[in-house]
Amino acid sequence: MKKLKIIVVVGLFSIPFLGRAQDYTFRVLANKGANEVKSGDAWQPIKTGAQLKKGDELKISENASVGLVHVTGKPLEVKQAGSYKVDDLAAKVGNGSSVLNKYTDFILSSNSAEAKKNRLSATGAVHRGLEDIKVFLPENQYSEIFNNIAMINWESSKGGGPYIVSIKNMFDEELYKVETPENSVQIDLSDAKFANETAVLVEVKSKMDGNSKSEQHLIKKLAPARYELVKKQLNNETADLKEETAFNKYLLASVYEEKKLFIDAITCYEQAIKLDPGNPTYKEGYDEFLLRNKLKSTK
Amino acid sequence: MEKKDSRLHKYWLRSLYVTAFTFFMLWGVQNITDLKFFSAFDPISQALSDFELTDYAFSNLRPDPTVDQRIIIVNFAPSRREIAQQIQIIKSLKPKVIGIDGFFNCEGGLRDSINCPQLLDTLGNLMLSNVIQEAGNVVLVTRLLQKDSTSKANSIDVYDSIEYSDPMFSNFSTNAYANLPTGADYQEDVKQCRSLLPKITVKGHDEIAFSVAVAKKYDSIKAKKFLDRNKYEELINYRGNVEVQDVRLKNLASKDLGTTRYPIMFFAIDWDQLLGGEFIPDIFNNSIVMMGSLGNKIGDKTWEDKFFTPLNKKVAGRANPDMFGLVVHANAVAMILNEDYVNELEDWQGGVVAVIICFFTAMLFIFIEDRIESWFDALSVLIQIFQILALSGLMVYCFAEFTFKLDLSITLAVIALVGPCYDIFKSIAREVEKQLTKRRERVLNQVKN
Repeated sequence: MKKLKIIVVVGLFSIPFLGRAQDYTFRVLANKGANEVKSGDAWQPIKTGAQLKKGDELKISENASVGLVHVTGKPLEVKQAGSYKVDDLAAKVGNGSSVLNKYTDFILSSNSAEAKKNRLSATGAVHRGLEDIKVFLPENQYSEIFNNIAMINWESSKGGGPYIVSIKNMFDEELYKVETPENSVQIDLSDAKFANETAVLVEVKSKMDGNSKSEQHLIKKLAPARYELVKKQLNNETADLKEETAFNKYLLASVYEEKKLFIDAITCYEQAIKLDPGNPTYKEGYDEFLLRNKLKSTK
Repeated sequence: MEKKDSRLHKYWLRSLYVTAFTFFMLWGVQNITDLKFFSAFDPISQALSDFELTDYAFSNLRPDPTVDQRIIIVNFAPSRREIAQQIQIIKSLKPKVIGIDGFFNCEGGLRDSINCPQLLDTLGNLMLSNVIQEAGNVVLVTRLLQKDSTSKANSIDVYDSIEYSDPMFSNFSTNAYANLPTGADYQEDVKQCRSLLPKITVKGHDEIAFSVAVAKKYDSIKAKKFLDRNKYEELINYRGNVEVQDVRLKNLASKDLGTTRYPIMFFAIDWDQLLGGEFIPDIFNNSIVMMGSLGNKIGDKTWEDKFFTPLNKKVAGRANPDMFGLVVHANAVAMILNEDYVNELEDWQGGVVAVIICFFTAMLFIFIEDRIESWFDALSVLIQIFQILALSGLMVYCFAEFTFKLDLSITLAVIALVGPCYDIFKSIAREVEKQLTKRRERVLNQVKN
């Protein structure tokens, strides 16, 4: 009787924990790329360890993937770009086949497509950039910009200024060209020259040595829908950062970085340094940001 | 009745002779192949030298393993200063143990700024040292080494020295060796890893493996249980990998380019995700964090510190390495904590099984030849093929279903040899019998004369 009482008490205490243990369908084990989850009405970036519940939706971007663990402990990898309902993904997690079934599948699949694939997929060559001049702009998949002002900075491994900065449209037609002895230039995308362009290409070359030039970097304006969404999010998150101080710019840079809007983050860091040039925090933070996001490499 | 007994006795005796002869031949074959007369022209055995039948079970046939959510794999940031920041963040999230699979020294003990530029960032080094000290639950890797004299003496698996990280780090951590038995001569060599050595004595002091030390900090009872098995070498029961694809060509994106079948088996966080807070903090609480290199970014195709494991989809021949060393250690930790060890047949047990099967196969051959001699050749070959296939299947099945490594390689070898050996034995026996009969006739003739 005493044992029965203990079991009942332990059982009653366990109920809330059992309920909590099963209130999700998947957990995110690993996340690569700009993937999002819709829980309720809003889409949010996925974080490792996040719980996905019934009714949630998952959006996988190009060249991205998400590793999930089902509540049963079984793993599932989703890597095809597109939207997925969590309920549909849960249905894909089977009960697992027996060893005998697997053995049969293995034997039957042994005459696989191994011998029927393209044989010229690899080359005997490597990629080498023309990066005598390294521009601190992100790779093309992170080239979106929210604001109109873009600060373009670079460093040169040989030679020096003056430099010629060319801004071209997607058809390689030159829209703007500027000569500067400095290692940076600012462009305003609201300018009439760029008004009709959704994206521009930036190239920096040495005036003295025509062979010394950078790779072409893309700067892409946000699509209207995404622009509105980011604007709404920023209004909520940065309401207290309206004042033009170096510290506010520094904080704003982190917000942009979190949203993968690296060009806007660069502009904020530059503005912070300009507003308070004597404070090393902003310069150090800027260097760490560039290294962290591989916009600059360690020497 | 007496005639039947005598025939049975004859069967037993002849089977025993054939068994003994087969093992003698096996010994002979082994010694000849040891001399490596044919190795230069033997690409097949070279390609298959690393192959084991149980690899099929690991890579294709066993029941799907479940994710170990206690272990979090974190990719190293590029500099010591940022690694310090990583540990600072992790420490604040209260994991039970932080295992760091990386050395913070310069090879050869060099301390000048040209050979060891890492020392230039004095503040970064101090930050790292300080955060390791503050965390108090860090396990750092060491490396077991041989001195020149030991190396020249060709001592196998005898170690007399240990390489530690610089004292400013290793003085504040638990230190354990990360060496794994791989067959590689140096770090960048091709590495295949199936097992770990849980404990090694160095100069009279017991050192434990990195994975054992991490498991010990998490659950000392389970680690003790593992060590109490007292096995010199333990097979790792691999659960899965951390293998994220980074394919930018669209035509390749839909293809399965993974090298293993279980690509995500632990939580995995890239260094920038950790520094950027792109994770849910509660996964770290009371967890095991294992930090190390997964390339510049998760998804990097680098081969640095990458191993071939039995999980590789390609079980033999030339293949891409499939698993980072850090994930190999994580698999070992998971095995220790889950107590799902791989058990093996002892060598002597394998020998006994080989003798018994050889004996009864020989007896069957003698019986067939005695009763249906015209079918002997066809039936003996069929029996051998059936036995080899059945035992191979049994080995794979035992591993897949019971995680038991039924190593019957001697049995397979004697089955392959017993047919030809029986034929040779018959010829020799006939010749010996003829000689003895002639001698007996000569002796009898001499007596008559």
